[in-house]
Amino acid sequence: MAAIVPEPTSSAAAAQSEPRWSVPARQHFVFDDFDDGIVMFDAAVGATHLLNVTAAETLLLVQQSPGLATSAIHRRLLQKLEVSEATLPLAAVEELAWRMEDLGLITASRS
Amino acid sequence: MTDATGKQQIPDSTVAGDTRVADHSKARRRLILAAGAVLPSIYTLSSGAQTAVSSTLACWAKQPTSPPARFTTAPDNWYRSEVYVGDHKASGAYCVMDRQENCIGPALGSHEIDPRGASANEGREGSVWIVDGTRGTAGPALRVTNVRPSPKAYGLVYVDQEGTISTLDPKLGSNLNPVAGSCWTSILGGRISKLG
Repeated sequence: MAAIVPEPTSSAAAAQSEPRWSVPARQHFVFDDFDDGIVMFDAAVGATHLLNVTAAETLLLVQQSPGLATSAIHRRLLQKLEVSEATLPLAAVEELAWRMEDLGLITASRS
Repeated sequence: MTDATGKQQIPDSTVAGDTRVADHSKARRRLILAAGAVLPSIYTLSSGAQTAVSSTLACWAKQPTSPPARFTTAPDNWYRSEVYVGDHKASGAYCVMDRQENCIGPALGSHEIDPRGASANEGREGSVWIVDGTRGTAGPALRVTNVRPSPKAYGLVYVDQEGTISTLDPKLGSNLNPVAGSCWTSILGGRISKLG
């Protein structure tokens, strides 16, 4: 099992400016795993999405741990997927989070 | 389904599945990540077309090594539409206007006078014709005569993969392909499906 990487401390200003992500209460996801990807049905609006492993793990993280900042989600993804930051940069996770927000899958809040 | 730490994993399905499917999926995910497909991706599938997407895309994208003849004298298994035929000098000319009534001067058999001077059986000025495989616009430099109401020819129709565009005259660089009639039917079927 990978060693737990402690959350690094950051300035109060930086922490406050980062959005925190959660799944809306009305949401209900139905997943199914195929060779070509993970199909996820958004029961709230009746839309179907095709996700790769990284996107699916991100959604699961947000669902299981609401209120995480993007950087925290990124760190947990790196641990979960056992990949380096060079392979999965923070910017890619930020873009994914906003894309999911556009689709109504998750919501952002600023603490 | 949980891992060794007791945390929930992405379910292989929301219906009951056996552990062999789960193990296969975990192994496959390791391979996918190892192959470099780490950057996240999410695509929204069109409602009503989820089950048909892969098959219709395949039939649209699959092009034969020998492209079909653009114009034939009879229908075949390709999606085609009837087109007017005329003459340009010694060559046959095929009109590729999507509204075929725009191919000719005044209506055949009428006594109207076309202000552009075309007679009833001439290609209307500005209409688009294919002559010896070359696209041209009817006018002083390209006179199309003897446009006959029958027999017509059958021209290939070019479509996009969503089935929202169909035309006899694809523009250069447009992402349009000719398709088999059965493929077109499946594309339309996915588009108008009431599922979802």
